[in-house]
Amino acid sequence: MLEDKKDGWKAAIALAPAMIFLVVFMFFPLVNTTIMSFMEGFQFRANAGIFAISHRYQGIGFQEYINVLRDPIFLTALKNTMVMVVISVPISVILGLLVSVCLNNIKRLQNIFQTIFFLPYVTNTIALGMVFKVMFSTNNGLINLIVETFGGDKIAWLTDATTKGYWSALFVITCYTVWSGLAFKILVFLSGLQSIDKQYYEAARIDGASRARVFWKITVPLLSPMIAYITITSFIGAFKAYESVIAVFGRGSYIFGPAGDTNMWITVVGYVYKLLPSLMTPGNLSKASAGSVILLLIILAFTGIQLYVSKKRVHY
Amino acid sequence: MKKTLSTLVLVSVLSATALVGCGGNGGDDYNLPEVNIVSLDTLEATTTTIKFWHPFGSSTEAALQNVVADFETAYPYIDVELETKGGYDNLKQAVTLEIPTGNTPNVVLGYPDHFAEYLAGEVLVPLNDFIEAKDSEIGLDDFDDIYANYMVENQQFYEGYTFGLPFNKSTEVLTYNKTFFDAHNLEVPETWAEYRSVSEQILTIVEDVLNSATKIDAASGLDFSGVTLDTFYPASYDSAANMLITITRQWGGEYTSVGETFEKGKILFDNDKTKEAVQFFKDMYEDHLFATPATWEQDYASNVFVVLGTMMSVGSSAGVTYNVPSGDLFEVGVAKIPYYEADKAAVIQQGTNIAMLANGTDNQKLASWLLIKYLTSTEGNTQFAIDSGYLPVRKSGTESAAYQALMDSTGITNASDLVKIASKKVAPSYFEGSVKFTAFTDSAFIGSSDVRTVIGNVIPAVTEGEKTVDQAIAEAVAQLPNYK
Repeated sequence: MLEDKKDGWKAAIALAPAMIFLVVFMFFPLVNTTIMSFMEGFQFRANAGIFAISHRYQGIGFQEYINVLRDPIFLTALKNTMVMVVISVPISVILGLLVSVCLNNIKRLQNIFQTIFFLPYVTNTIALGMVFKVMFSTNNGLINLIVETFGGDKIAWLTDATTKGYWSALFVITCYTVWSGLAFKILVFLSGLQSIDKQYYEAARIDGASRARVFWKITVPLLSPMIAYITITSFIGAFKAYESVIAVFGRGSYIFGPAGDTNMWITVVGYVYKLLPSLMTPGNLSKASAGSVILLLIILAFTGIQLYVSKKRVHY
Repeated sequence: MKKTLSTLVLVSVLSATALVGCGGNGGDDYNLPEVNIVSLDTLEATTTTIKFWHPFGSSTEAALQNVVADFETAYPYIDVELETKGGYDNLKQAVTLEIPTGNTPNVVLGYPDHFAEYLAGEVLVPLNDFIEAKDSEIGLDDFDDIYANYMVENQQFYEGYTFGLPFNKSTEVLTYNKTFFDAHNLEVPETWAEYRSVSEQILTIVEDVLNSATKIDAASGLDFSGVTLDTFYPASYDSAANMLITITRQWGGEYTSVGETFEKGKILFDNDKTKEAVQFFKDMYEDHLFATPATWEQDYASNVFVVLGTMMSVGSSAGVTYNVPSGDLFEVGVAKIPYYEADKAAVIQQGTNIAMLANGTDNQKLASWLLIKYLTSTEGNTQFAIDSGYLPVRKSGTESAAYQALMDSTGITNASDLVKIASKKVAPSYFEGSVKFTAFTDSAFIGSSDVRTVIGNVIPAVTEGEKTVDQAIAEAVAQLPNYK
């Protein structure tokens, strides 16, 4: 038994590989990034290694945080990220739950449908983005062909830099994000559904409970740990989104919108990523670090709120 | 969770406090790498391997490989590991990422604003000691043979220091559909006013063709059935950044300036002349006369030009062959870019320089220099200019028998080669005739590449983005607070 104190060293050995990786690739970069965010005008020096304090900077303080919070692109990124989180997470969680319940209730072809829904999970993000870009292309795109078939006008889904284009692009990004993230949610929900004891459903059937009542009174409460887990990880994933936007617009590594407004759908991580090509510009890396720390704090706050709420709502 | 969070916050605060205790490590006093030139005998005693990073795609890379192979034959004790980074931005990012790790290449191609960042990273080696070396096999005694205008950008950072030599140079040219122009007796525009006027004529002609049953232009025989009126624009400009910089200068405005040193630059493009210039092209766009490649969801207008979606386009002289359609669909003409007023005629000087980075032993530094010297020599550079779309960087290269034979184009029938030669002939013609152009490069400073990236969005923002010129300029300025 690992709980036995005498076997503590066994536990340590078992945990060591993971801990080493966490320290090297997670905790150290986190601390290094935090330090860097306070170093105003941070700049790399030749051969100085990876420790922030061995490089060039002009002072210590919160100036880079002020610069970031005054940067109109960061504010755009923050707004976009919040919009994506608020819209895509509830849609994807609810849709994932509904698809899982439907899949769990069908007997025939269940495996085939499971495989179909799981395909996006094993497909390359950029490849998926390219497919979406082609599907939503203004000229000859599949979606516009359907729109025209029903008598509508072509929509510039991903090439319109006006306010209308902002919302049409959000529609595409949301479709992409929800669809590509659905597979994992279905997998988790389905395994949760299959572990619910059938006796509860039998008892409800004998009592004559309606399907909706069974869903709300049995399925949702018993699945609540899974729902909480998926909701929290989905929020975190949505806050970190950037590759989905790059993939959907498909116009280059640092382009987050149509030609008329290449920052139209930039996200906070996209903002950080976009600062990296000019590493030697004084302060760019400290701005990127400050942006990362701000995002970390936002995610921590959201996760904290969700954990607090889930304590009352989740039935473990 | 709470403990982990508390620990993280504590570590961060403690680290930040510790930094205050350490005091600033900063300052703008960038150190230059030291140079110690070993003898050629030392170099010959053993095989030296050097890394050379470049941005080229397959066709130009093949031309570079040929010249590097010649170099390795001449210096069998030097092994060059050639590696493409797939584009200028990728190359700069790859180099800067390796600055803290010390794994930068020995030799690199780059623009002056890339070099400004390498200087700030203290890895850019001044070449003076090599150029002035007494050993004739090392020193550069024919330095004056290199075109002086190409050297300015390599000597701008610190007075008296040379940080690179020109290698692949080009400029911008106007490519046009010669078959269509000749068939309709259209004049190739020399001014932007003519550019607009010709565009209007083209649009009228193409509208008539597209409204006809056959959609075939009877005068030129060109089949426009693959073109639609809503996507046809008579004129285009490949690089929105180059365009803004060029028209700013041509209209008499200013783009950026550099302070006392390359460390601090200033943006100046928020001026009436720039706005007037941008408005001129916004009006053309709104009249369906002009587009940037983004209008067609393309990176380059050449993709549209070859399928008759546009009839003229300004682009790099080194890339004109991309405008040649398959199957000799039409003939391509090359001309000077238009100007606004004759006394302010200006054209951008493009292409990169070659430099040495500090990583490496003394042997590697000498081997790197010998490679730089060879690639910029009359022999090596002229061969590269002949094989690629770039221009020779030496007077002797331009005047060499091999280059002149290419310019004669006798016996050459391949359309791409002919267009490439026509483009090479246009470059020197900017400085001939009644209207003489100024070939310009803007001063590089740390962050000037960031400025270029931001202003590259101004033209698309006023065309595709439907923003006013004032809005687009104001948004660009707001994104560059450190350069006001």
